[in-house]
Order: sequence, then structure tokens, then C-alpha cells
Amino acid sequence: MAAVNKFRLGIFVLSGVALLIVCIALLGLRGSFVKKAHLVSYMNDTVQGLNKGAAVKYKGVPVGSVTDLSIQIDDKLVRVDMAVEIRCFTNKKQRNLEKIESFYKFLEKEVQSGLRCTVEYSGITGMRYIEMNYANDTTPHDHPDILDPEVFYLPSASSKITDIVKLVTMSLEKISKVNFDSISEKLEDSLSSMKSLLTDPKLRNSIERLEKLSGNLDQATSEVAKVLTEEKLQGLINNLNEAIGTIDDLGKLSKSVLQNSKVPETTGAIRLASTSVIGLEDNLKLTLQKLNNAIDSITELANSLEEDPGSLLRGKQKQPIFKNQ
Amino acid sequence: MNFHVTLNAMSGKRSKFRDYVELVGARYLEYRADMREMVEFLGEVAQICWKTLRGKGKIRWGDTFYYMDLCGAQALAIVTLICLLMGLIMGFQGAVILRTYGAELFIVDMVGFVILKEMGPLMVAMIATGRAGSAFAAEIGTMKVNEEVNALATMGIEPLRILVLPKLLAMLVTIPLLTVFGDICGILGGFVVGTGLMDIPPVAYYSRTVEVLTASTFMIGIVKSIVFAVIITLVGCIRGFQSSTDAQGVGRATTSSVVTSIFLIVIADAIMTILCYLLGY
Repeated sequence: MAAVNKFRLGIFVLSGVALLIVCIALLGLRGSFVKKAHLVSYMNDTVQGLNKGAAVKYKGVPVGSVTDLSIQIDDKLVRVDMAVEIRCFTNKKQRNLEKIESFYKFLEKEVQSGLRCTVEYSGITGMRYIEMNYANDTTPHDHPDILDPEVFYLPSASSKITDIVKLVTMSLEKISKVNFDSISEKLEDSLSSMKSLLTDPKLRNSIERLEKLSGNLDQATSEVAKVLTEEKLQGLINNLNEAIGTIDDLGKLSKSVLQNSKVPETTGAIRLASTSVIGLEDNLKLTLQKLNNAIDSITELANSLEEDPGSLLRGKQKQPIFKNQ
Repeated sequence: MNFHVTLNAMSGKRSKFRDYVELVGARYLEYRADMREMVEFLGEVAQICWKTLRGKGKIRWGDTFYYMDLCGAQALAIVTLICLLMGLIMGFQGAVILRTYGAELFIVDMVGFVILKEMGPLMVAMIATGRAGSAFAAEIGTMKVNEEVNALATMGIEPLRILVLPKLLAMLVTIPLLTVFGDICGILGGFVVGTGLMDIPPVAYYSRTVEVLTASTFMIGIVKSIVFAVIITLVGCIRGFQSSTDAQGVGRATTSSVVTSIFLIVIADAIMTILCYLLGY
């Protein structure tokens, strides 16, 4: 029998045993020394695709795994047991939480802020995982009877996918209630009436007229386009600009005129003048009355002179006491 | 009367048909006798092991170390190379499909699970069959040709204790260790493809490997390798003992040991895989 290379054999055995121990430690015992919190949740919806060992994530960060799945026969809810490594949760000083109690306190506070667990799809393979995230629904949940004080109850919420599926199902149910037969009948009726309408000679005539009108419109537009060349338009715009400039100048001028016209003084003078005019009106009335009286006297004088011109020389005669005198 | 006439008319065809039926029957009887012999051999080996465990007989440690060196240390290079290439090949094949679905990271799962549960132990067993199983059959066959086996029996020494027990012990130690090396090299092959071809960050590949592979997955492969070690040793030894006492007989025994070992290894692997599936592993 050939001699044994004991050194080679020793190296082989030692390295093999060492690797075996390392592999077992790395794959199996690694998790044994990690502090884990036991979380429980109850799902109302199906958990198809969720298996033992599926990941548990907090805001997308893997923090643990599903340890057990069972059905509670009393209320037909699916109980999901999870083991969460508390070393994944650190405070601001980058220190891991040392006690499970402090982790539970943190969770309790977060549950009140809306922390819920949902079953989400991890890809196109149909595999699912538990996602711990904040939901809009913060209504308090019924706390199930969990006898073990070491277990923390985490309320669940339906996942977005489930909501979408529910919505789609509801929509499909509504669609299924639609009476497509009557709709198709009505549609056929409408189509037939539309067909008869389209074959109406009046409509055809109207369409022909419309066509003519559109032709004329096209022609008019082309003529307008010919008339309104770019140069002309530019000229118009320039003229318009000039006019606007002139208006602007006029405005400025009127503004300066208004400023120079001393409006308050003028209005004061007008007001004084109006009061003096009001006083003048009375004087004028009196004067006019006197003038009227004077005219009456002159008229009377003229009449008496006409009747008796000699009176101008003799003066005024005394009136006879009797008519025959 | 008519029956006899018919039989005589068909005599030419009937003789051929009868030959085939007889051949099948003979093969079946041979196979049954072979199986029976194997089970008896296994019983004898178990008896020797039990006696040895109870302290009624010595283990030839020198021989055991020799076979450990032969079947383990000397096979390490070829095992690591084959398993590394196996991991590379699986990685490449998986990369083509998984990249189509954008599931590159799942190459870790694929390579890890297949290597640890199936390909690692299986490839090591195949190499060990080619190296150790054939060597055992040839060695014992040659001893039988030289009538050394008969001499041992005449001297009152149990041939199984001298010739089988050291081999079995050596194989029970070395094959699981070789499987550990093979597993690591296979995963390393997948790692090379994953990080080099698929651009998966090395840390992500390592994290995913540690995350998805469990100790039970690893131990399934080790348990399988132990079963394979027993099969390879016993088949190699029994074919050696069954060898006819001529040079050609030794050659036939060697070939037969390899073929039978591979066949039984695949059967055992299938049974264990189904068992693991039923047990939820």
C-alpha cells in the first residue's frame, strides 16, 4: 500500500470541517443569536403567494420573516406570525434597540399614527411579502385575544392591489348589470333614423350650400390674403403705432393742461360768481318791474298825447265833473 | 389436435419469441439475485460495523487514512474545478432566462438551491464513482484474482473488516467534506457570473445568498452525500467481490461498479428529493 500524505490529508480534513462549520453557522445559526420580536397580524383577504419565510419589510427595508401562517376558525381570519429583528431599528445615535419592550412601545406609537401591515407582491412571480407601512386609515382596530404577552398585535390593511381588484370587480359587476340588448336595439333605431336623415334631399341641399359657402369663404380668405400683404400689414401696424403714440402725446398734453388750469381756483371763482349771479337775479327782477311800469307810463303818455296832442302845450286838463260841461 | 398443428406451424416464430421471453426472465432473475446479493452484502457490512462499534474488532486506521487521502484529498482539485464550472454554466444558463424577466437577482436563488440540494452532492458523487468506486472494484477484483480474499478467509480474518470497513469510513468522511468544497465552489461560479455578467453588486449577491439559503438546505446536500458515499463504497466493493477470477473479469467489475453506482445514486437522489419535498424541505 502506498504511503499516505498525512499533511495533505490533514489540511483537507481540517479545511473541510472548518468550511462545514462556517457554512452551517452562516446559513443556520446566524439568526439564532439575533433578538427577534414576535408580531402577529390578522388578514381578512387572501394571502395567496405568502409563504413561511417570506420577507417582512418596514418601508421597504427587510426586517424579518414570516414564521407561521394559520387560519383562525372563529372568525375565518388568516393569522400571520412574523419574527422581526430589532437590530434593524436604530435611534438617531445609530444605536440598536436593545430591549424588545422598547421596540413594542415604538410600534404601539406608530400603530396609532397609522402603521399597518399589508400583503404586497414582490414581482411578477406571484410571491408576496409583508409590508409594514403607514396607511391613511387610522381608525382603532379591535384587539384580538392574544394570550401571549410577548406577542405584539399589528393591525392589517388591505393592499393597494386588493383595492384595485375590488374596484375592478365592482366595475365589472356594474357593467354586467347594463342591458346591452336594449342599448343595441336603441342604437340600431338611432342608426336607421340617422340613415333616413342623411338621405333627406333637404340635408343634401344644405350640405351643397355649405360646400359652396365654404368655397366662397376660401376664395374670400385668399383674396384677403392677397390684399393684406405683409408689407401692408406692417404699414397698418406702423400707422397704428403712430396713432397710439399721438394719443399718448395727447393724453400727456391734456394732463399737463389740466394740471396748469388750476381747477380748484377756477371752480371757487365760478362758485362765487354763481352766488353773485343769484343776488343779481333779484335786482334784475326789480329793475325789470320798474322798467315795465315806466313803459306802461310811457304808453299811457303816448295814448293821451295821441288823444290830445295839445296837452303837450296846455298841460293836463281837469276832468269835467259832469259829462255835459 | 388442431392446437398441435397450429403450434407446429408457428414453431419458427415461437422459438424466437420464446427466446426473448426467456432472456427477459433470465435478466430478471439475474437482477433479483444481484439485488439480493447486494442487500446481503449490506447486511454483512452493517453487522461488521455494529461489531466494531461494540468493540469486537479493530479498525485499520492506516488503511482508512490511505483511502481518505486517495478519495478525498487527491480528488479535491477535480471536484472544485468541476463544481466551479457547474456553477458558471448554471449561472450563464439562468442569466439568459432571468434577464428576460428582469429578475437577475434570482440567479442567486437558482444557483444556490440547485448546487446545495442537487448538483453539488451529485457531481461529487459522480467524480467519486469514477475515481473511488472503480478503484475499489479493481482493487478487490485483483485481490480475488490473486486469491488474496480467499487467503484472508482461510486465515480466519473477515475480508469485509479488512477490505470494506476502512473504505466505508474513509468515504463517509471525505464525500461530505468534498461536497462542502463543491457547494462553495459552485456558488462561487454563480457569483462570478452574477457579478461579472449580470452586474449584481458582490455585497448584494452575498446578502441574497445568506438570506435565501438555509442550514437545512445545506444539510440536505450533506445528508445526500453521505448516502451516496455508502452506495459508491458498497457497490464498488461488491462488484470487486463478484468479479470473476480473470483480468477481463476485473475490467467488467470496474465498469459495472461505475454504471451501477451512477444508476443507484440517481435513484437514491430522486427518492430523497421526493422525501424532502414531502417533508417540506
